[in-house]
Amino acid sequence: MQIRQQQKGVMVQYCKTTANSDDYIFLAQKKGYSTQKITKIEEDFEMSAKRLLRMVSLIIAVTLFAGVMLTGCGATQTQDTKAQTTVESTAAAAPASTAAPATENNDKKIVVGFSQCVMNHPFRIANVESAKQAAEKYGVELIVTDGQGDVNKEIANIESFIARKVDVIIVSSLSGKAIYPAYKQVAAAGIPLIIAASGVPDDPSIPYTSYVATDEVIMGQTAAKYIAEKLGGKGNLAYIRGVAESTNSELRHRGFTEEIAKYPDIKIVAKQSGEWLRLPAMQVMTNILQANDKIDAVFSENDEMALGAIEAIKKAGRENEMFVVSMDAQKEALEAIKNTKIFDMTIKNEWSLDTAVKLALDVANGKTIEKRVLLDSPAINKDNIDKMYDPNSIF
Amino acid sequence: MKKINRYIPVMSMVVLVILGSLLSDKFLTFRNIVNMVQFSAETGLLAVAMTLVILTGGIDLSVGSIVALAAVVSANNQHLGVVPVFLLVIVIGAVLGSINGLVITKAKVEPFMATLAMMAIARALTLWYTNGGPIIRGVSDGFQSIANASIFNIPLPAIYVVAAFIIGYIALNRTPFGRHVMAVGGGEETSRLFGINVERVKMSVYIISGILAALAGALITARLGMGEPRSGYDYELTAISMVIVGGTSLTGGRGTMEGSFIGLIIFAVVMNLMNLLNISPYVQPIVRGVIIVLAALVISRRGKLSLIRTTME
Repeated sequence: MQIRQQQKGVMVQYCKTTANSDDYIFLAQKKGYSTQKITKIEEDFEMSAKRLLRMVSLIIAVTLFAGVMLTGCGATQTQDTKAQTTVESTAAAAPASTAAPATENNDKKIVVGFSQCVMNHPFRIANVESAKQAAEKYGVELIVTDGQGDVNKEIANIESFIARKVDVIIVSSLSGKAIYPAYKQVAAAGIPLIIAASGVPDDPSIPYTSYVATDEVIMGQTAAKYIAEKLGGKGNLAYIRGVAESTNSELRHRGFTEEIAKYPDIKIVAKQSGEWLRLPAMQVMTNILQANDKIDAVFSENDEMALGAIEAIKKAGRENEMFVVSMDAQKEALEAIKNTKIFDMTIKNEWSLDTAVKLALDVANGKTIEKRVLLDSPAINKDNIDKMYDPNSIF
Repeated sequence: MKKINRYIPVMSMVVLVILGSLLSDKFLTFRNIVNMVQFSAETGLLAVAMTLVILTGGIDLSVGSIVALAAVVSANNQHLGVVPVFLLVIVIGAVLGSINGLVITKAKVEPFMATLAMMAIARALTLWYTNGGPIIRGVSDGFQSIANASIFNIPLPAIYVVAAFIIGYIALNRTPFGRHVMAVGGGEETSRLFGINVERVKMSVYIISGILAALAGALITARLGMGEPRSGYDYELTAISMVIVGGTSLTGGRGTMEGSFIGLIIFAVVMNLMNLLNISPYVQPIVRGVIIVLAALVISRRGKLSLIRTTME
């Protein structure tokens, strides 16, 4: 009897979940269920549609609840990052000493659109924060958009700036050639374009007003020279690359390899990718240490990977054998330079967009600005760390 | 012929190990073997759950994103203490896993689509929660020792992953749950007629998947001493690759837990060898792709053979 009941339960449940009840009514008839029972099954089948609807609304409710809960937790630690944030600031709030908007524009605030390519990396977030601070300082209105790493979104964001008729557009893109059509659109609309913290167009026909960034090829050369000097022109070097196909990695790599080639006695014993991240770099460095009995220096294309590599070196107990040189100068790396022997030097990659916003203000006020503004990229080691380390830095 | 096919994953592993020891004298050392296993810990945990999910005929693409969410949440709630953080992480994994399960079993959305949606949602929640940047400070030493301590010179992550596979093996081969998982993957209709609660089995595998992914995220935070929102990218693909290379069929119902462990070892050995031999980073993904295609070829041949057998019968 019990088994019979269970079977019926199975049948009913089965019908609830299938798109076509006929097959199973047929099956049920074959199994010897009475017509009454089969009608019951059919009714249940119709009921199931309503249940499904209820289920879906329940799921939506749960998701919404989870979302609200998470925001609640995150709110203390973070600010809201919507895809588009507007920073409003008044000229009165700006310090009197800094350049306030020129008099003819006093009644109408200058609007600057800033298209950021991606906001999932500390460097990119620091870009945005510094731009907001600069906007407040110079009294301009800044609109920030996030391309979420997708060139099509970046282009759509830039188009929306053109549609809004902003005064100046700042673009920070990692999309290489794919973003050029958007640059052309900006020029066609007669809006000044400032390219910041990204690659300079390699095609001379691409129009832009000003390009402001550090030169990553020079950063690579500086690192190579520093390592060569410190090694006395001779030794084994392990090289940890970022994502090999990215623009930054390619430029840093180019500068470094050209320069290090001048020292034939420096041997690159390993060149592997740490994917810009700490954990992959830790893993790769562990393997490199395994493969090489003697390493004198490690060069990493960014600080995150350098910190991961140092973890691996410490675990292997070989921190007295080598030193680490890297790039970016993020706060955590500067602290490591201050406090450890193994992290020797990092090269500052300027994250602040202060200069870019200043240029935007100037060009909007009709001043002529430089076509190419090169930002300083100083090497930071134990000698100048105290001067360069700012505990309140946002990057 | 059937027997030979069955042992192809093991044989390729043996061949790889022999090849490895010939190519590099650093390969077959205790240190290196331990390193190989310990750096596969996170993806290994995912592979255990992924084996169960794929055996039911499903797939879970959301695990990489759940790893990231758990990583940042565990880093940001260190003040609660080690055990509560773990409970919190397990709850997150279970909730996200059961949402996956509900959408799949109740709303009848294809597992691929349902978990693809969760993959995007969990990643977005992660970035939203952290404002994009890593959570650098505050991970306690006690929490870090979960990943960084060792017993008898063996790092704990290596022990976790082996333990997870042993538990997974027992669950799959020695319990009714395991039999049900295999049955559901073999044929849902038949399983239902035999009185198996298919929905419940499916729900459980997605919940297990969510929980193990969340634990893997906590493990990353313990290992790095920080919450990295960019953790876990492509982990789902690595885990799926391990499972497939281990001989489990994507259509469900056919495969083994020990096979997935072999898959994990094969991927770990290949990654390790490519580093030891200093192979260009540009070339490495090609090698991984070739392995997957080879494994898929073996599986499809096996499928064809069994099909021929059944028609002959």
